[in-house]
Amino acid sequence: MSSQERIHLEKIDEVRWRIPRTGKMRVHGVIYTSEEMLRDINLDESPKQVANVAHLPGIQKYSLAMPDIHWGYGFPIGGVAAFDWKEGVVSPGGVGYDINCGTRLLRSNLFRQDLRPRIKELADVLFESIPSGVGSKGALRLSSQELREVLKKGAAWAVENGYGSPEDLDRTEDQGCMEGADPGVVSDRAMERGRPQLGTLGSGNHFLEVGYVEEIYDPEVARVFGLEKDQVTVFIHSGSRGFGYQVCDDFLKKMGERVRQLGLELPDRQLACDFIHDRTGQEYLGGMACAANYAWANRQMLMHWTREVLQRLFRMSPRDLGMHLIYDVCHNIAKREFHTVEGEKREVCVHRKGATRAFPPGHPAVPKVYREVGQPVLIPGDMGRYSYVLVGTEKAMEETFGSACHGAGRVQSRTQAKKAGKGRPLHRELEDRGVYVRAASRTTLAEEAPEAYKDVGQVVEVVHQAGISRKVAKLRPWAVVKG
Amino acid sequence: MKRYETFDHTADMGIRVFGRTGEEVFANAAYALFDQLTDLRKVGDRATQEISVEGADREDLLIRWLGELLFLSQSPGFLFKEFSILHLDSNCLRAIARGEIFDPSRHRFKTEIKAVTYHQVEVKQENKGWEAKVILDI
Repeated sequence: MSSQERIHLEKIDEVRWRIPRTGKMRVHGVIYTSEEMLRDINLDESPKQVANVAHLPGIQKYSLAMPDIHWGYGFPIGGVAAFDWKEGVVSPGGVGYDINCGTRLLRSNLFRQDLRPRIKELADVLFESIPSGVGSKGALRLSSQELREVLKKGAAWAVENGYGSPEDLDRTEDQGCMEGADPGVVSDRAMERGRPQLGTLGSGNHFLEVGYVEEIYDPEVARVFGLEKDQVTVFIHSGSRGFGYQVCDDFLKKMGERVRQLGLELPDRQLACDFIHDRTGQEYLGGMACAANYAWANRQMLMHWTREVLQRLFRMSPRDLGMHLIYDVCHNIAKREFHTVEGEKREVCVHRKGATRAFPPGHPAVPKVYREVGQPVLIPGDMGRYSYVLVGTEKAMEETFGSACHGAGRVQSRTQAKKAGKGRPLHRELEDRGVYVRAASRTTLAEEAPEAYKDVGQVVEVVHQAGISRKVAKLRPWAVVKG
Repeated sequence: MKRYETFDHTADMGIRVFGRTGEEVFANAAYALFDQLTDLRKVGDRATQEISVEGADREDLLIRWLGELLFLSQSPGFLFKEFSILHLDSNCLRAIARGEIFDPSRHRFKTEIKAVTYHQVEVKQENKGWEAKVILDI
């Protein structure tokens, strides 16, 4: 990595640091982190990336980063930036390659003791039943026409085709379907990549995790969410597969051309963007919505199959199993939202890349069933450690455009993790910790080993201390399926 | 002369490619991509594919070239091991790639390469030869 001037960080308080506006930055940068985590953050270029984002036209308030911040393409991962809808830009790098990578959390009527005698069996059956892994082909063979329907309807398409029920849509961000999806702007290439992959988990840090509630921090909110101690839960973490990657790739190229045409000076080529109201900006949003819908349809299907596996294994009816969707959130997306800026309500395009929406009690976008307490914020950890459920707050609306962290960031590169994992009986180490992992490849296992990630507990602590989300429950992983 | 080497980059993988000429460095970059993707010893060379790409500059061209190859590796599933660059200038590349169609009974993907990124991409000519650098999202 090239050496460059150290980014100057000013401490605001125990959990907030400011990058003062300098040079061509239009606004300050603000990083939510702790003194301890700051050491890791200063090792990669991510603070510089927060400062770079501040150069973009139409950016509102400040360029933000969450405590799981780490280096990304253009925008840092863990980055949040909002741009004026009329005058500002939209940037694929602010969303990420894996458009609508996100998670959903399911609760159930099963408890730890019900699952304990059959946990290994469950891990095996899930691994057989859920398509995952490198370049895996899904169970579906879609025609182009059918794929276009998926892109327009999202999770609703899945429900219409027998995967889950309409109630699931109420508990999905944007009802599992983003407006403005335009299959017409999607390349043939993206369609080619998307057609055989619907219904697959994907590899890398995507997973399906059966766990249980280890601790409840906020009993009232937990009750409203449907969570109780020792209850069996399922986390599903997956995105838009090759389809989203291709859409991002296609538009990065187009945006690159736009930047040249506009004569925009950018500190980093990967901040390529266009004005929201211009054609390429509009087309990107239309394509991004398609990818978002693809991912929601995908998670809806993966959830459906998971329910079926558990129903079969435990010979329970859907009602008895009670595997309801608590919520589904995106953490790589750009959203059209209203936020208060300089005392007035403004329409903005909020980019969240490795960041989760965290809306407060009373917000109309929060499902009615949760509106009194706030939006569930789902934070998957790494395999060996914990996952968390938080709830959105008013403070998040005031400070971070209603956003919080998304999980743990990486500290080790994949090569470092692979080297560290060489020869170690990773499966057994994890089993000793009580986690049963089924992964398609041993390489993936090493790359995703717990030490490769920051401690999600620390990340969540910062967010909680900052008041931008509140801890509700801690979940422990038990059986994990990875690609 | 070493064809390429890999280096770490946070969650992803970088490749540093060498060549005596511009054509050689582009060919070696393609080789590096497939060498990381699969065991090339198991890939035959009877099938050929002509590939043409355009770019705004050499760096953009490299990304388009590798991106095209990556796409072909998934759809229809073409694995390539040899590359003859027919034409190369700063905006345009034409090549013939040799390999074969992915056969699940013989071939395995070692890594899932999801995208070829623009980050720190470089194509430069020095006295001792050419060098290119690109980061792959894996």
